Amino acid sequence: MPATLSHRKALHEWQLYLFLVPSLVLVATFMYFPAASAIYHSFFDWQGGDAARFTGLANYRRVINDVVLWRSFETIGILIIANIFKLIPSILLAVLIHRLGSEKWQYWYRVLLVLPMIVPGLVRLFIWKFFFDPNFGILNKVLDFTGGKTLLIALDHHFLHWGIFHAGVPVPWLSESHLIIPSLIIWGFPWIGTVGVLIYLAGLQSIGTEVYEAADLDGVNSFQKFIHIELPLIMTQVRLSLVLLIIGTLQGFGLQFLLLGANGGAGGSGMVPGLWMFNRAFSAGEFGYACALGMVLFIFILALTLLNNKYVRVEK
Amino acid sequence: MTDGQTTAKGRQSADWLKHLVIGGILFIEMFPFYMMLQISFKDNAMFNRSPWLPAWITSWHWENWIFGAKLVTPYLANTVFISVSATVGSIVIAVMGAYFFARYRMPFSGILWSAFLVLMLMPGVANIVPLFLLLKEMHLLNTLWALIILGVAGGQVFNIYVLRNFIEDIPKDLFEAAEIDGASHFQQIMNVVIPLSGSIIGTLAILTFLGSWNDFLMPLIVLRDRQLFPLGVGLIYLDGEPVKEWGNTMATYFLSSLPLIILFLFTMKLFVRGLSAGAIKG
Amino acid sequence: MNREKVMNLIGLSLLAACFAIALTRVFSRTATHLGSDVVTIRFAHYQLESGVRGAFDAIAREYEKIHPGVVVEQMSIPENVYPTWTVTQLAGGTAPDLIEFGNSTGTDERLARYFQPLTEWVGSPNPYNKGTSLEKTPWRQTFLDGLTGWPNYNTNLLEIYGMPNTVVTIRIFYNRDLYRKIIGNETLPRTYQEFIEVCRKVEQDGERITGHKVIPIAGSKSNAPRITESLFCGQVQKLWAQYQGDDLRQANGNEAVLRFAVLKHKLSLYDPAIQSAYQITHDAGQYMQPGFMQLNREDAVFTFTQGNALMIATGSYDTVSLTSQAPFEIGVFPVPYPTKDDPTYGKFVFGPATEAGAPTQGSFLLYMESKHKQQALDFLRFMTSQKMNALFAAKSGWLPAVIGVDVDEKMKPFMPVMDGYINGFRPFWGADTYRVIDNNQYLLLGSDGSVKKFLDALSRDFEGALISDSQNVNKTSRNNLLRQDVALASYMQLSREGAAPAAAKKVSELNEIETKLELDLDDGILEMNELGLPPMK
Repeated sequence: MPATLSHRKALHEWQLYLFLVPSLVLVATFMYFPAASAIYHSFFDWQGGDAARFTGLANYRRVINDVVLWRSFETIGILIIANIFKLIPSILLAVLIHRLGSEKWQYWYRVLLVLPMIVPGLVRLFIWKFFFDPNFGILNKVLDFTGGKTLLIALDHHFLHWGIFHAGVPVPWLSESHLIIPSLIIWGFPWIGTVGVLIYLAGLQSIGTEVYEAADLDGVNSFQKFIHIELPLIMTQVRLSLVLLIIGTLQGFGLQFLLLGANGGAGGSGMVPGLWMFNRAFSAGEFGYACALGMVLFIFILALTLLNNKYVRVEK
Repeated sequence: MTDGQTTAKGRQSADWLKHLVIGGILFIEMFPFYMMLQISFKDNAMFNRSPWLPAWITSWHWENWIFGAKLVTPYLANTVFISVSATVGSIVIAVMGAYFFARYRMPFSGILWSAFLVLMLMPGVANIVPLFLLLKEMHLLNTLWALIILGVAGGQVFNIYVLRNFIEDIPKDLFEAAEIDGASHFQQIMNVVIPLSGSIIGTLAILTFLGSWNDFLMPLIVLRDRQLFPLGVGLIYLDGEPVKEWGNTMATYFLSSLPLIILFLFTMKLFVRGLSAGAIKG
Repeated sequence: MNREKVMNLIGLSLLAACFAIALTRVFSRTATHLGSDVVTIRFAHYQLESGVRGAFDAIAREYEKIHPGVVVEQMSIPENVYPTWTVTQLAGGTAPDLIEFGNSTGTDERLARYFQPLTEWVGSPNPYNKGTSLEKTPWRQTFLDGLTGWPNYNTNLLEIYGMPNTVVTIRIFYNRDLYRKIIGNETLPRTYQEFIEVCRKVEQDGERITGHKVIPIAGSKSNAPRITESLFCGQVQKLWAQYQGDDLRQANGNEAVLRFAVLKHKLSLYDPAIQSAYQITHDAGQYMQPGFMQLNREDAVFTFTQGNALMIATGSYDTVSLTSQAPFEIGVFPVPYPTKDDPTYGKFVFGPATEAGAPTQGSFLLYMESKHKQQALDFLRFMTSQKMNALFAAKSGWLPAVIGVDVDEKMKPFMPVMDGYINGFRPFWGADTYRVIDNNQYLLLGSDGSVKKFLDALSRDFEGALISDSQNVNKTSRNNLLRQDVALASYMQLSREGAAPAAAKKVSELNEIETKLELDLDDGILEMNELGLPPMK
């Protein structure tokens, strides 16, 4: 614990403040100032040039009526729920690895897990975009090969009535508005995230073998072991992942931008709040309005974060 | 492990199943990279004929790799420059800042600390637009320095947070001993803090480096000239080409990953330990 | 030292080495950049089709040869990034000297704000045309269309902004081998009826003859409209002529008349001509892949080049891409029109539309804040001179925009056909009407689509969208007027002070422009008021 100082000593050590100056300056200039500037500019009709016209709350009124924005919140809601489900494979994989008998194997699997992470996220994303390509992509080839395509055609014909799956025509994953959200959900199969699995593994390490032995003696089966022993112990990490996931997904738009472009793809089905803000600023040039959108998003996320912090006690 | 014989045997056979499942999952996870590798040696026609299996080695299109290398090298150079500079800058400044908070409780350090903590909670999404304007005012648009400075600034909050906790855990006596020997604060950092926090600095460096390497959004907005593009933007431009020779594209993707792969191979243990340790610190 | 430390050390020193190399690259680049008296002209475009970049490059090198001390740099931006790129460059003040006209750069707002009007220079001859037949011709008249309309001449701002490089005509490309195989000969369809016959034959006999399914027309969201819009316009030719009155010569026509006709319920979506137009759209769409409206241009091209479709409709700019990607020979023919005696569609058409009004495109705009404006302007003159445009056409495989450029045999079928009638109109007049039509399109196309279903759904939302678009037009007019006001005021001030004699001339020019703008705006407001609607949002 840093010792509290007598005033004399504090004055003597004034040079220490200098140590903080670079950090402080950087953070003030590039994090605080932009935030303030965003608030300021959200009240203007500012097209990015030098002239900005003060319009008061006009931007905010427009935000309230902005159909695209509210629809994008719906979309992001669906994606968040999907992402929550996508947490499960990581947990399961961690449990599986943890339950292996051999330590050596555990180590090597951890190494293998880190391997995908060194491929830049961007490359992984573009490879997936390639998978979605109607003519060259793997997804369509797999569907044709396994007969999944016939299944989809039947499904479409009898049940969905979307009219998008046809024999002999490649499935346009990213250019058909109904398929965009499914594509965003499918992306990343098998949905294991290196960092997640490692976190859970670390948490599971703390379970002693005696616990397992006791459970074996009591005749507890695998599934019950999971529910009663393993899950509770990694609950904190799971909750932390959940919080980070929700906040991350809410803000995020890089995925949608790269896969679908700045307009959110066909029919705007892939438009998410962050992307809409980006679109208004950097495709339409409406910087003032984009700031207002940013503010609304910011408050939304901040509220959620504070709520989460109250609910989630992060134990160190 | 000292488990009973019956349970060990039971575990053995169950293990085999687990290996299968884990192996299966990992195989699917690695599948994209397998595809990337094998396609990079084909041209479009070959790929259409046989998409799944690698081609015969005699028919491999090595020129795809030459294309990739020519395309990617400038981007890689820029990315290395930006990432390394940003990481070094970020860590150095963060260590100094963390030292300030951890060494003594100076007057106002409470308020300043809260100022940093608040930033951890603030979503940065609304900042992109005013940041753009700020960079314009500072005449930093279309320069690599803008990206480096942003990288350094962006890493401060998290790095200082982690480093502060770590430095606080260093026994006070070490500092006091150094002080008695007449060491200035700077020397105290060099001789006490750095040696002891090697691993945590390594972890933070890796995280910062990776973050900077993968960034594409700010570079896309800030940069105009193709010669300045880092990897992210370069790949986006490649993706926008109307006629795509997938062999070329895949070779380019692989070459983009190569530096990180090489780095990983050499610093493997650091990576794994760092990521797990960082994970525990949570 | 243990193994781990050695490995870490190697890894990090590799990284350090790479960093050192990167550092030298970056700094050597900056050094050459700063220490030069070289004037660099940059031009940016999004034409990534094969051959075009090479063509621009050739022109740039030629210019550098005769102007030592000037470096011309080409910047090619992919289409998907272009809007974002232009907005950030323009707003950030780092834009290159010349930028290609596009949806993001071509709005009235952007043009007026960021780009230099070129009207004052287009009246004089282009010095780079010396020694050619165009030596004494004013720059503006050296182009095939005289720069009389979109995209180069903006009718709202009444200024010329763009200098073009090419002209685009639409043709139907077909697979010659496949055509001969299925149809038996190479007689090309000249009328709509003959065209549908060809399509029908492909559908019926294609698979039997070739062994795999052949689609008559490769469609996509960009390729299908080439045919369907042509056919649509054909059906509404007479209707359009009705509304233009005597002024059939006006190149762009007055779409406001149509808008208000619909709003005043004088013209209905169910008008027989319009219904027929949608019907022909539906019929043509039957011969494209199911679900074609979801596919992209690349998908249609792929289907065609793989031999799975007989025909594809696209612009002359795609010639080189298609011929280089296809392993077979390609031929072209113009989009066929129904003849007057066609039983179903004949009664609404005059005949094939003229291509005389084909706009010159691939235009470059001059950035207002360019640091080397005069030099950039000079490069524009160079690029659009007869000699250089010929070089461009030859290297890129595109049609030329300048009069008197000879085109080689391959491109002759693409040259605009001057004979023909006035074309009709396309049924949307702004972003909102476009969106509404786009959203409901699936009810028209597709095997169970019908005109009735489509029009019923469309009539629900169309009026609202039309009102919104009309309001936007008025708002834009008013903004343009305000902008001109500012310029007018400053020139009036200058001329009053007697400071610049040219100012007086500018004042009268601007007065003229303002008068026209005011008239347009008043008309727009008047019409809206008559309908009892707020004129602007």
